[in-house]
Amino acid sequence: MKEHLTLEKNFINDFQQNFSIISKDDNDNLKKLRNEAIHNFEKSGFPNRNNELWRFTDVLKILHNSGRMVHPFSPPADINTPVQEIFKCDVNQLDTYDVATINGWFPNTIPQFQKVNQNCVIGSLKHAFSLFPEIIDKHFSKYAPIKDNPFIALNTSFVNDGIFAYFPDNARLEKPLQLVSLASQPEHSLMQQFIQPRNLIVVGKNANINLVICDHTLSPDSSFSNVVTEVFVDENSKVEITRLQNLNNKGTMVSSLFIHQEKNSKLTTNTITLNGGFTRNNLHIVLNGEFAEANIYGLYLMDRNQHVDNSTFIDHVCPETNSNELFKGILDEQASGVFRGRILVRKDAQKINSYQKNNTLLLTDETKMNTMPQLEIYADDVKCSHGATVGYLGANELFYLRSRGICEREARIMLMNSFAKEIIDKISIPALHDRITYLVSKRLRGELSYCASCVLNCRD
Amino acid sequence: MLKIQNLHASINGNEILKGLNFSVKAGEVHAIMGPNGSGKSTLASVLAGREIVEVTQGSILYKGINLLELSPENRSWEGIFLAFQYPVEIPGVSINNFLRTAVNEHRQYKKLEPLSAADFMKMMNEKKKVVDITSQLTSRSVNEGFSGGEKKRNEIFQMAMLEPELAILDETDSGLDIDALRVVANGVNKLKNKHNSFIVITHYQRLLDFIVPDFVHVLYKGQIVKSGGKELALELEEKGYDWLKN
Repeated sequence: MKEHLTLEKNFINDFQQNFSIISKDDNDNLKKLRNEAIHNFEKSGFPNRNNELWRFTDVLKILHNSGRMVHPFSPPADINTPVQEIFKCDVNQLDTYDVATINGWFPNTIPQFQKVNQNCVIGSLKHAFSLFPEIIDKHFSKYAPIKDNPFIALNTSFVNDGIFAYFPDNARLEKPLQLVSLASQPEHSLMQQFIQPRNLIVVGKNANINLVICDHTLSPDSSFSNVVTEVFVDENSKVEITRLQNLNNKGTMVSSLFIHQEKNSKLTTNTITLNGGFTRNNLHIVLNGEFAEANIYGLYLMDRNQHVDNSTFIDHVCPETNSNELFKGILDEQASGVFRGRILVRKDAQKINSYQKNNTLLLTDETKMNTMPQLEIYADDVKCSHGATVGYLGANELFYLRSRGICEREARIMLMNSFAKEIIDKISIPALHDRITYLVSKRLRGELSYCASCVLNCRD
Repeated sequence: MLKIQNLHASINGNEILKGLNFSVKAGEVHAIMGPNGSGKSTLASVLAGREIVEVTQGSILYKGINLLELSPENRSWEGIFLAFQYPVEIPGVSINNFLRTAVNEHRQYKKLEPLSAADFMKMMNEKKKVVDITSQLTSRSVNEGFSGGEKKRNEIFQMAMLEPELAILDETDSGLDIDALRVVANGVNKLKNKHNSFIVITHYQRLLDFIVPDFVHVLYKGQIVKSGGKELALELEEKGYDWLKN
């Protein structure tokens, strides 16, 4: 075994020693999948910086510094108190259906499943394994590959709970569904939690769904989250996913979102990283049917020693598919960032359009940004373009504002807000749009610390 | 109001202004003319405080204050306004938000309460009439996608909102057709009174038919080589600059 695998060994031992607890309610398929996944993880180990996909994001260092971590094999103690008491989402302008997990567990104080509108089901993934076996068989672990992807393999081998949402054909939600994932260090616990929520969202045909996914830390302690979310979007459906990440400065998150789109479906994702010590977002979209369209946006605002890495992969499997990608970010103090934009156009995927852009503003000389477009095109009748800029606030713009009597600090904030606005303006829900505008503006003024609760619930 | 003495200024080490002397009193309109590259825009930049221009020698006193010590925003609060030759586009910042911030910072400097939204809109509506600017235009982002004429009009509109004591118009006439020129010049004339002063930088006599200067100066190779009354502009129009170059 390679030397660096001592770290991995702990995870493998934890898996083996606790297998009976982890797999207690499993059917044979799931048991088999877990073993296969842990085997894959054992083969690859955690990625080091020789792995091209992790070249600028040293996750091994974080893992080493975290020491021995514990897996929450059972729900944390505070999960028995009503989740509303721990976490309140009382933003009156933003009316949502909301569900939360704590350290990856669905609370048992609320019904394990609720039905909203036309038989849409929202609830616990753990219970879905037994209650909705056909949906699980068809979709679980079908979009997030356990091969060559140690974090997915690890999440899959340890899978416990998370959020399961099923929207049948023609489903409409009157209000957005908000999925909140909370990381919380139990009291008197000295060891850091390694939490691995797993979410599965299945959207049928001709549906129209709006999702808000929030990731937060409840306590100021260190935490490591390895979240995997799979989303299936069937023909003619329209799905909008807004992700808000507001972790504390010691929070580490590897968040992987896999979206599989069928014919004529339309997806819009917006990944907004407001705060967090170390954030890696994997976003993998498969355009698996003609006329499928994906609009992928992101905004990251980092300072101090924070690190953010948005690694995106858009797979144009079918002809006449479209993707449009724009990530923007502002790095301050010693923050560092990575953007990787892989676009694959397969051999028969003719007449596709694919646009990609990444713009980063650096506020100091000590910030670092690595941006890497990666286009692989095997079809010959395609329109693809990409562009990246890394630069400072425009001297001409600053001078223009200052010459009108707007002081330098205010002028800088104004320009940063306008820079971020392009991304925020892609959010279609007006209340959410306004809320995020407000939060980003607060963040840029340095007035937003991580909240003890959801960012949407941040005390004004 | 303004006294410039022996001003030397460089951009990236190239000396552009080479010992410029020039004074403006309250209520006066001064035109500065001169061939390309003579230093007209550099002078405008120095007055507004653009960092790229480095003053190596000389002094500028404005209302008795050492202007060179003030930041650009401080100069603005003290009543200096530069109408840009190339107004900057600022996508994502609405004119409303931009001007409201600017007006309120000016008010804060004067220890006045910020304007309420209603009072601000009232002020906007009054000042819009000065340059016939439409609400359609002011609801957009600052200068974004504006035509050349709209940008210049927007500069004069901002000037009307900020009520400067010393306004510098840097080639405000460039790129304007005759109708737009008339609108812009009329705007300036409406704002002119015996307390404020204008420095009008231009290549052409044409603008001076509408904004009549008290003095005309010729800037050449970083110095003022000739000064006179408004008739000097006509003479320049007729003879060009060559006769002054020796």
